[in-house]
Amino acid sequence: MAAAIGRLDSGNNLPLYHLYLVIESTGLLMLFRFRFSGNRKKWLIGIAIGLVMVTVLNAIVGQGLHQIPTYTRSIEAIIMAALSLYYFRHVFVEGQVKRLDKSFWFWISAGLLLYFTSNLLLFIFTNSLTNREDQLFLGVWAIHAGLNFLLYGFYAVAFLCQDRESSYSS
Amino acid sequence: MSGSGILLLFLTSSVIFLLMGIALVLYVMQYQKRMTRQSDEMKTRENEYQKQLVKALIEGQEKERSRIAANLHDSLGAILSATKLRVLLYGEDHPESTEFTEQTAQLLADGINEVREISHNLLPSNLSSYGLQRAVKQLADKVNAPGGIRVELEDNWANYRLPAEAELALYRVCQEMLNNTIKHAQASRVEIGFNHQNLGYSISYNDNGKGFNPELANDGLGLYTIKSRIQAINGELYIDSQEGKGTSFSITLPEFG
Repeated sequence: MAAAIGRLDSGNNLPLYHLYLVIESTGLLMLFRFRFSGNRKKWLIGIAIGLVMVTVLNAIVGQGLHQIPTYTRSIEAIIMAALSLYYFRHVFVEGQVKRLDKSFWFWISAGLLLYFTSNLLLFIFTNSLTNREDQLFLGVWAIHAGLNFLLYGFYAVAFLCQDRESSYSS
Repeated sequence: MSGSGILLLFLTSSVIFLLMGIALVLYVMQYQKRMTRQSDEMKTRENEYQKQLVKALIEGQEKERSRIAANLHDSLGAILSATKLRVLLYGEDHPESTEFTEQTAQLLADGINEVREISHNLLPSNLSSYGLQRAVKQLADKVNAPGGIRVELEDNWANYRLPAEAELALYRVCQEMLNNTIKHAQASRVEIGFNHQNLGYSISYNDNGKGFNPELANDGLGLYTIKSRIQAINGELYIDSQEGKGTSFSITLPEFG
């Protein structure tokens, strides 16, 4: 499908990246709804709707569908990092989690924090980098790939912890 | 973007990554430290609560014992004594029934002794007057019998006295240990030592009975009571026993201010 979109008149498949952004950000925000309660759930829905609107507006009247959406990607990175930090603060104040290293939410938040804060500058300057093809440029993207790998590793650990928690409670 | 710009971006991102990683590790360490502290505090509070509970329970038990002992001694004892007196007076007035009155008076005298004995066991009067060592010696004298268990005492405390509640607790502990030896140990010899060394005052109790496995005996009420009483006065109990090799108890006492 990506190739088919790429063969269309514009010559790239970046519209899918916009779609990916919407799915990723709303997915993560909805996931965090399970962690928080009360008004914070409403806030998360509000942020998700706002982010979708910004992504759509950016695609239509901003950077366009065929450009890398650096604005929305950067905003998403800041929101995810802030959300992770908020989680850490919340956990510290609550003091209810006995073992952080066995907590699903800890691994999710740690992965998101590391990934989005480390990549924030890259997300902001993505469009300035796309025309280069030297070693340094490739190195930066290799680091990004490594961070992606790390993020999914953290997800995997989180789901393993979740699995154990479910086994213990059942 | 120029090569130096990319390099700067790469370095800045790396620094952010490192800082975030370090911050996360520090956060986890700090959090776990806090949780450990919280858990320790909770355990301490729980222990303190348990100690208070046991202390209150023991105090209640002692009060009740003291009340029963006083009632037995003052009320039933007095009634029996008066009855004995009247029976003897009746015997003097009726010589024909002397045998009957003497037998009855003897039965009443036995009853009075029994009441005194029970009352004394419930509240050892010589404990407050003469101290723990003397009270335990009296206890040992009662147990000592020809052909039975031989209880020996070694007193290195001189005239050292403990607070009344500690003396009572330790007296009950000695009583319980002797009871256990008599009931379960099949021992022929018991040694009770009131020791005083540089580390402070302590009590040792050794028997040459069949011993037991302290880990398996943890659920027993007797041992639990012993531990609770010692814990309530902030003492420490060490048990050394193996099946077939006798039993040793060592009670280390705290400094009583």
